[in-house]
Amino acid sequence: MNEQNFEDLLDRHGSDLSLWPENVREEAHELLAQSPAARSMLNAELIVDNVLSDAMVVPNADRLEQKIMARFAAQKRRFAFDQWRAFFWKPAFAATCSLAFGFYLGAANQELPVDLAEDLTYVTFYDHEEWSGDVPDES
Amino acid sequence: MDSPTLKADTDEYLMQQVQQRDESAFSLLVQRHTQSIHAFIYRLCGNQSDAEDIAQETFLRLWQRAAQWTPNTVQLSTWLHQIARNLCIDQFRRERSTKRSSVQETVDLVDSTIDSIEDAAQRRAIRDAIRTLPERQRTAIVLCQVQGWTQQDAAKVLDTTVDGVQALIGRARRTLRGLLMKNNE
Repeated sequence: MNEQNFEDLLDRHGSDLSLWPENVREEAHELLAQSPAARSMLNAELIVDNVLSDAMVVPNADRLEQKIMARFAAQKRRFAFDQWRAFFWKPAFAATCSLAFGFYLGAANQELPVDLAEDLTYVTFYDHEEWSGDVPDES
Repeated sequence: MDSPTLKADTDEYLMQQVQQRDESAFSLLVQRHTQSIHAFIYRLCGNQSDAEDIAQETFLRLWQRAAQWTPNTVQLSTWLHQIARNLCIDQFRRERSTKRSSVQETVDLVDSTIDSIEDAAQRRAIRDAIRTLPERQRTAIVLCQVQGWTQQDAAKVLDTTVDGVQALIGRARRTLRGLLMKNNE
């Protein structure tokens, strides 16, 4: 085992050598006996462990639960509005778009082309004559 | 409607009630998770005032986004930690943009808690090391090494694999160790 292997194992298993895989433990102890660099790495790892366990100390959050519930109560009405808006905006948007598209089509086709208007007039009169029995004699 | 498969005191049951806008269930979840969420946020951002603000915002998001949570995909606790972490990241970005050091409070936290290390140079080295840790490494270290989470759960919060979490922890520890060793030379 060299220092590089030792450092990799230190990363993976931490500073407690008793938790290392059994097959590398003895070699690790041998390296520690010989190598000041390995000892230095282990020492630093122990300090890191100390720092991390000290970092567990968290100051008491005074009445935080009450603060959360108070803020929740203050914002509840806004949440209800947001929920209502989230529920309605999609159908409302779709309806508005359909309506706008309908108006656009209606405005764009207000005047029919002359040929089409004549055809429609002819068909209308022809049908009227047919219904009234005055069918023009085509022979 | 109560689910017959869920016990009335489980997070899953309470979340189903919250999804139906039951405020008492929300209150119970707040009581149950406030401490752990606050501790997690405090360890990430290192500032008590920010930690309280972000914790409050985390629970408001829980109420707002309750419909997005589905049981059997992720535990409620993991989901809350994901929300809290994202809010912390937003906070770091805001602080960075206002030229305020995002890790200064972390440094203050460490300053106040590493009295067990008597050597001032070592303390300074650790302070510097924590200042340089990227957010993901810091989160992995806090969840697994400080809060005692499994690497599987931490992987869900960090949206990575267990191998990814191991790599993050390894890199963080190596950084801290390397700086301590350099300081000792």
